[in-house]
Amino acid sequence: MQKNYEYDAVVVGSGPNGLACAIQLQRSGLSVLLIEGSEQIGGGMRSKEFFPGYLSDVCSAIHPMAAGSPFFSQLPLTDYGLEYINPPVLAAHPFDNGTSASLKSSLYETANGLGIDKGDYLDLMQPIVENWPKLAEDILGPFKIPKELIASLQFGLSAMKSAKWLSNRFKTEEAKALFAGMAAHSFLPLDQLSTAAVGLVLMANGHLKGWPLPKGGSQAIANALLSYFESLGGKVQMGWMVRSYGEIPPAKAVIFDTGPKQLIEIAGDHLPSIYKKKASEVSLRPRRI
Amino acid sequence: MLAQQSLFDADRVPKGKQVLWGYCHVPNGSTVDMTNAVEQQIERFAPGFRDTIIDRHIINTAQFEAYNPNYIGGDINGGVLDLAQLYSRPILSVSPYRTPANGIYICSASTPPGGGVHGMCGFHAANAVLKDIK
Ligand SMILES: Cc1cc2nc3c(=O)[nH]c(=O)nc-3n(C[C@H](O)[C@H](O)[C@H](O)COP(=O)(O)OP(=O)(O)OC[C@H]3O[C@@H](n4cnc5c(N)ncnc54)[C@H](O)[C@@H]3O)c2cc1C
Repeated sequence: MQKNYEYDAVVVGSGPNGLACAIQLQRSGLSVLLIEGSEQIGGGMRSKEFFPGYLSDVCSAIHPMAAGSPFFSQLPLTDYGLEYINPPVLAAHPFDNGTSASLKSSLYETANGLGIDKGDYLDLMQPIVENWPKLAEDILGPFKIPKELIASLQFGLSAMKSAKWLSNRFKTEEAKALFAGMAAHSFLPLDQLSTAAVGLVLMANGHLKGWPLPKGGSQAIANALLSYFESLGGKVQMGWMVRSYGEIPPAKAVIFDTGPKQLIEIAGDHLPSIYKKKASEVSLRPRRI
Repeated sequence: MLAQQSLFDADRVPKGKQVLWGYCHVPNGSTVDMTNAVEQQIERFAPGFRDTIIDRHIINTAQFEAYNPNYIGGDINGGVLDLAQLYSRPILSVSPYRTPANGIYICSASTPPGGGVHGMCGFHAANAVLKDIK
């Protein structure tokens, strides 16, 4: 029994994941409606003039993950206005004596800046950088048995340790500080286990694709994704904050670019209580494991 | 964490001016005003910085949640990224993008591989949809 739907799929939320999902579905031949609650596209990629003439990124600003994304890299985003700017130094950590430790796009230049930790830095990062194309698929993928088991294990062994443990490999304050700064992006106390993974991914991406910023603000990424989606025939409706499932046009698939809390508020009547319980347990506070 | 994008992208500001962008971490839901602490830390490494400020715009965790309901308590990564969750959000299942309800999926940063602008959660969720409806 085949029902007739206006759209094959509806995506709720136009953050990077909502846009990616909408594009992948539309370019696979489905008809897609993208709904966004705000009047501005992009979720965490929005930019805004808080003061007239001064453009700021509201959320995300620096884009090693976008530039290194296996999916975004497949899309013709430069044709839709996206231009990355690559500053010569990716990140720097200052010290009170006026010196600093810096991450550069070159693995060797970065290592050379770390004095006696040069060798240790190369030992740690070189295998990750060299294996990255294989690793990225597993690390940035959904949960599954890693295809490249060996390479993943090598990454896993370093990455599953805490940033504190890993930074003890290093002897200089420069190397320790640089690594701690990267790992702090995981928003956890630095002695927790997976923090090192975040640091390693960010540094590896820096050595491979840099830490670029989009010309015209992070909004430029959102605008390019949207223009590409529309060029494929995708439809967008902005300024529509979905509150209940009944508002959403019937479709074969409805995909939420929201957290589990909102998913439950909107679609709770359709979800079994065991799922709701588990999903709402996604911890929002650091806990010990 | 600080970034000064206008140093490399002059079109973002009037000639001769700059915008400085930065954030610091606070406990989930905290609305303590960190402005002074942040500015002092910048002043520590760039003396004279405070005298150059024309204006400032501050967003706390509650305002972030109001701005984007995905940022619960100001959490910008859609749930804590610890080991138990890194590969199991929102629940441990072979496809975390599917829900038990036919035709309902989740693709946000609350699913693997988590926070950041990379679109990979959305890409994998789309592939789960394609498998189910083709
Ligand atoms: C201050 C800050 C700095 C950051 N810095 C960086 C950085 O430098 N680099 C980086 O890679 N990442 C950074 N991030 C993280 C990044 O922005 C997020 O991880 C990313 O945006 C998550 O994408 P998403 O698609 O899952 O959801 P979001 O980007 O949160 O998008 C969700 C969208 O859904 C919409 N929505 C929600 N509910 C509904 C509803 N019911 N109906 C309709 N629409 C709805 C929202 O309005 C929003 O537009 C930063 C985040 C913040 C807050």
